[in-house]
Amino acid sequence: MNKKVLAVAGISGLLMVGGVLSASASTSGYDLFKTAVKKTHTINSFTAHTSASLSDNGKEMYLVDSLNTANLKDESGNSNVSVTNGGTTTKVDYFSKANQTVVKSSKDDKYYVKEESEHKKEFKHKEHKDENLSPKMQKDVEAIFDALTKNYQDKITAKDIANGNTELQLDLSKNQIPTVGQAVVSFFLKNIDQRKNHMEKAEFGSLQFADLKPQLPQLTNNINVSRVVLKGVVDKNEYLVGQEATIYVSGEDVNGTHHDLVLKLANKFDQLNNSKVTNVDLTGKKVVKVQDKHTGHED
Amino acid sequence: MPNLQNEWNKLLRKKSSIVLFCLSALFPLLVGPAIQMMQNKFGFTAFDGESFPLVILSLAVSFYLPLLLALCVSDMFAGEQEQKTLSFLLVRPLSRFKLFTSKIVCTGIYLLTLLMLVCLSSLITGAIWLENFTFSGLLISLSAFLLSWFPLMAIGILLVFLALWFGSSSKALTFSILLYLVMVVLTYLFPGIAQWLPAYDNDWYQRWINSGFTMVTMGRTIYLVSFSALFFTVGYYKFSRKEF
Repeated sequence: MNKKVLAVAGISGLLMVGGVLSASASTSGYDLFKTAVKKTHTINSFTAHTSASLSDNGKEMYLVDSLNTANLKDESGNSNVSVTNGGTTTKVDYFSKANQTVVKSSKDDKYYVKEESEHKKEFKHKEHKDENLSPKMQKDVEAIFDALTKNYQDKITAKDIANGNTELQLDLSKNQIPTVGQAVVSFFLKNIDQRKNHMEKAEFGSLQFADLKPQLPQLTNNINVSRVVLKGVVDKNEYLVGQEATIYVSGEDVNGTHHDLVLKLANKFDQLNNSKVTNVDLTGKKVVKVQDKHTGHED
Repeated sequence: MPNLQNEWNKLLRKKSSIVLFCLSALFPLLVGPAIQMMQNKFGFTAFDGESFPLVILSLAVSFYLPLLLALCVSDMFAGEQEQKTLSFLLVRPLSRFKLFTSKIVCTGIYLLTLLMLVCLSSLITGAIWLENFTFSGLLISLSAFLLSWFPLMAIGILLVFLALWFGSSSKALTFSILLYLVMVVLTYLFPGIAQWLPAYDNDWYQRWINSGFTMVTMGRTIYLVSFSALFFTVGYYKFSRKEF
């Protein structure tokens, strides 16, 4: 009798260990992701190709495509952004140095320059310093992040792709998306028209905010986030070189027409730690000095 | 199965089980309209007819049903010992193994009944009051409720083992609740330890619904089954050796 009990207990105990270990063996994707994020945080310069697109029932209605180079050490960077909104494309170039920002849009040939005062710069510098957490705080943040993502950690799949890169993927269907997320998205989409008016008139030189803002269909019923896919690519040096998020939202407008909105955000890092920031040469160009957002500009 | 009918009748004769059945059915029916009113007032949709039963399920699986299970188990084992009624059972011409099994099966049926009650009432609520109620949503909800029986039953068997060490139902209930709370807290504080506890698998149904048959799903399933087998065996061992 005793032997039987021992045998059953022993076998089921062993199976239990096997079950847990085989389940946790395939959850290494999360650890790889964490290492990669930490390592990518330490880079000094990078080139990033970032794009965001929004489509409504399969028709692309909004696209932002940008190529950014940044040097985090001396806080310089430039980016070329093109925004395609309902068929019209606007191009904007930004150049920034430690205390100067230059904006050039494809609408005119003027260069808008904004100088930052010493005081503000110091403040910014201080702010930047605070961002670097102490090791202890970093550990606490990590613990909180671990607890928050507990339910998703073992749902991350890892797949080896070309060049020694690894692709991590987290595919969440409707019933895995937190209720708070559903509530926030539906609230945002339902109440979008109320925020429209006061932002519409904002402008920066020849650049109208309305040109850059997507015209979302006004959804009123059955709004829900039906799927979220997160992807990450980690290279062989454990840098996070690619990120992609695709968010699927469906809902109906006032007329009862069904809309499937797909928001796709993607980012690719390149030339880590050896990107060169090219700066703009303002000699002989039409320069407009911009004092502050509220006072407009003076010639 | 001998004695199963007997155990089930005993369970249904208790006023508390009838009250708890009614409460379980009423809760979703009352919460549904309240949520719908709030959503209309503030203009957001956190729940719709498809997701409402699943949200109710995740609440029930992580808080409500383990408590009811602890209550049922502590009454069935420690409680009967306390009232000295267990000895009447033991003198019947039934082996202790059969007695033990019939009690566990009865707990399982009780749990399934509770799950089905909550499932039905939340489906009805979703169909009547909330928008976007679909047939596929109905199927997913139904299978999610059925699948949730397994991890809850693993917790139930663990609680049976615990209850056997106590001579009174109130003590057994208190310690069961404490044990469950500790398990839940541990899953948040130390995810590494958590995977050895059955409370980690409260969302076990999501693995089946979303990723289907994968390595992780299989590993966790083997874990749940062997965990139940282990505590069933040691529980039976304790029960068979116990003097009443």
